[in-house]
Order: sequence, then structure tokens, then C-alpha cells
Amino acid sequence: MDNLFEEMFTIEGIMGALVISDDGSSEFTKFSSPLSERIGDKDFGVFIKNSINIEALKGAFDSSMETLLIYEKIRLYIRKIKSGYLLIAMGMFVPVAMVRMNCQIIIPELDNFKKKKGLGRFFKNK
Amino acid sequence: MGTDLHRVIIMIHNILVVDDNQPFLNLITKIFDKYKDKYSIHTSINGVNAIELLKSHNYSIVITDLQMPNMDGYALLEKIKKHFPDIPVIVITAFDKPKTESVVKKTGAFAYFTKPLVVEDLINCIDDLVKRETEGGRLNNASLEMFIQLIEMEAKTCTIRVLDEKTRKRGTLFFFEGDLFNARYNNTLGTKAAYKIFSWDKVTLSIENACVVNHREIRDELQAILLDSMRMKDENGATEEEFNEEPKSNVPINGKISQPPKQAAEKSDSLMRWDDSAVSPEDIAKSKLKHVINIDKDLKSLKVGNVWSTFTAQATALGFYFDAGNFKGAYFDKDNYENIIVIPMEGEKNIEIVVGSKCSPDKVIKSLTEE
Repeated sequence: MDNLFEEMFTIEGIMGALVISDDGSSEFTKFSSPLSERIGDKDFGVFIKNSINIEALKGAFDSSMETLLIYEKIRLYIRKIKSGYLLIAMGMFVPVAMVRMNCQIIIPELDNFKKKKGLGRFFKNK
Repeated sequence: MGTDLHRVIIMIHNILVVDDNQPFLNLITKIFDKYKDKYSIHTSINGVNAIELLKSHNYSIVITDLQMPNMDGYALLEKIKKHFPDIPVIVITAFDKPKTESVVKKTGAFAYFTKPLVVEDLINCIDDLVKRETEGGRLNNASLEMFIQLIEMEAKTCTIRVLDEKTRKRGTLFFFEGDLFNARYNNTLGTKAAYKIFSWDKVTLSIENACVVNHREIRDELQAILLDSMRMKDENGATEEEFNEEPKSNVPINGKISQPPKQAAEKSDSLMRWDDSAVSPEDIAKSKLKHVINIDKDLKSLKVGNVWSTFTAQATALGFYFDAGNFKGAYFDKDNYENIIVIPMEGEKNIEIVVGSKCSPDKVIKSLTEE
């Protein structure tokens, strides 16, 4: 899955990418420094489970095509994917349009990638 | 006077001459000195260096020799056709063979000359090429966005060379029957280049009545690209320094947080304040917003309430994981016409603003969260 985000991480100011499932568990995380130092070894899935009412966030995320959460130090760009959410952590000056464009390429591949994990990868339809 | 000078700058076309024969380069530079009101000659001793120059400078035409060390004229021609498809290439060679002309023309060269060269023929050829660049007209101080929409509506096939009047940078847009097939900015092609070009405000356009590329690189809808580039322009409007100020308070990540600490929210300098004064928070918000958006046109509704309180509490908590600082607001892209911006206020109240799709969420949030 790392390869899917290669292009995204070439955009200056991209700090991290997370793929989380519908229940909030983490399926993929990749952080660039300095965010990786700030996060340390804290597990996103555990954090969500212990600290967040994921349903309250999901309701808002699901009703929009994309969501941007703006904090003092970073922004989180969030997109619904087939079986969860894609979160991109970025600096204040990353052009959202560039991130959106990259997500448009990544999301279909991500859905495809997740599908391949099942038995479907061994069979094909007639 | 400024305008005259401006026009003179536009009229001068840069021509890159590539040849490993330095005396030839010196000679051609001298010959073109007579035409310095129209053409500016730049030279390169080989193909590799020429590609580097093409990446960083704007050239209208490339003239190249065929036999050169490192990268020969054939390879250079191929690279130019691939990465700089709008730049016509004229080939000049001393080693004329029966099939050479047809080969270089098939590869994409516009014209072929043999040495010894009849200078007048070369000048006429260059004049023709330059005329073609503007055969469909030239527009100064144009709004690119409006013009592009006309091209789409009229399903025009053309190559548009765009000059940003502010930075003097150039880019090229390739349209086939109203569809944006490709774009070039320096050595960047495709959607990225289109975004760059569409971010320019006032431009000069030169229109060539042909599309010199036949491969469609850009698949996105033109309207979507235009909309995105406008957003990008808005989002990049504020200066970097304004956003890079260190936050005044940080909330540490400290284990289990079922609700974000209230004290942290209450101390936050970034939350919108409202008190018991005679002026309503809606009016305060509107007075702040009028500096960043067109209230009459872009503000659809503005409400203060606690509908979003659970969401903002959780969004604040989510920020703890990233050590993101205080939560300043959220932006929801609902559709292409209306979007929602939610900003936490003191206490459990929030302000919900419905705006047109062209508004920059960063600017709106910044205007409402600053004192």
C-alpha cells in the first residue's frame, strides 16, 4: 500500500496518510517527520478506540464529499472510501486541490487493493 | 509608456539555437542582431544543455543541428516533441542524406535546412512560425477563466500560449474540439500544468488555430479543473507567515480522552468569543466575514447553535493524536455549489456557515478565529 502514496508524499507539506476502517481501526499509517516524531509510537487505532466517539465524526464525514479539519498546526483532509476513510495530514499551505487530485487517483486503487485481500483475488467472474 | 514597454517585451520571441559548432553559433547570433526587435537568440553547445535551458526558459522556437555529441539532434527533437510539444523545431544539418529530411519531419520537425544556409529562408520560416502562434488573435489583459469557457462552449481546436502578466511566466494549453487535451508549464505537462496556468489572474493570450498534440493527457472535466484552481488560488492567497505563527497553547497527548478537556477549549485563543453585548454573534461574524467573502453573493446562511457540539468535541480530540493544536474549524464539501464551514465558539456553541463553493475555508476560518 506504501506505493500508492508515493506521489502524494512528493507534495511539499504532506505529513501523513492514514487509512482507517469503518470501526476506526487503523489499516495503514505513514508519517513523515516532524509529525512522526510528534506522534511517536502511539497507535492510531488504539487512540480512536479509547478516546474518540467515531460515530460522531463518521456522521459528518459521510454526509460530505470531502472534509477538511483545520487546526492550529496542521490540517486533516478526509475522504470516504469504500470500507472506511482516508485521512491526509498536511501543513497549512498544501494546496487542497493537489491533494484532492492525488486522492482521486489513490482511492480507486485503494478500494481495489482492499478487495484483493479477500478470496476474490483467487477467482474471477465468468 | 508602461504599456508600450509591455508590448515590446511580448513581441520579442526567444529562439534557442543548438549546435556543437561554436563559430556557427557566434555567426547566427550576429546575423540575428539585425532582428533584435523581434527575436532574441540563445545558444547551446549540445542537446543535454538545451533540455536544461528549455526547462527554465521560455522559447518560441528551437533550431538544432543533427550531428552533436552527448545528445544528437534526433534525440533532442524527440525529447522536445514529448516534453515541449508546442515548441516548433527547425533542423539544420551539414550532412544531408536522401532520407534525413523525411525522417526528421516524421519525428516532428517543422522545417529542414541544409548548410550552407540561406539566411533569408530561415528568417522567413521563423516569421511564419511566429505568425502562426497568433493567427487566431492575441488578447492582452484577459481573464483566462472566461476565455477558456468560451473555447469550451464553441468547441474550438486551438493551442493557447498564456503569459502571466504579473510574473512573466508562460504556459500553453492545448484544446481539441473544446476539450482540454493537455497543458504545459516549463517541463510539467498535464493537469498539474493546467492548475498552475489557471491560477494566473491577468494574462496575455496568443491563439494558434490548431492543436499540436494528439494525445489526450488530461481526463478531468475542464470546469472541475477551473473550480479547483480557483480554490487553490484562494487557499494560497494569505501569506505563509500569517499561518506559521506558533500556536499560543498546545494540548498534550495524554492517554484516554473521552471528551476534550474543557479548560483547554476555554483557554484557547482561537475560539470565537461572544459576550452579552448588544451585538449578536451572527452580526459579529458577518462583519468579520465581509473582509474575506462577498456577503451578498457567497454567504447562504449563518447560524449560531449547538448542533455541531458533539462533532467539534470529537474533532478537537482527534487533533490530540496529531498534536495539531487547537481545533479551528471544519469544512464540508457538500456539492459543487454550497459548502458548510463549522467553527467552534466558547462553551458548546458553534457557528455554522453555508457558503458558495468558491469561498476559501482557510480564509473564512481565519477571519472568524482571530481577535
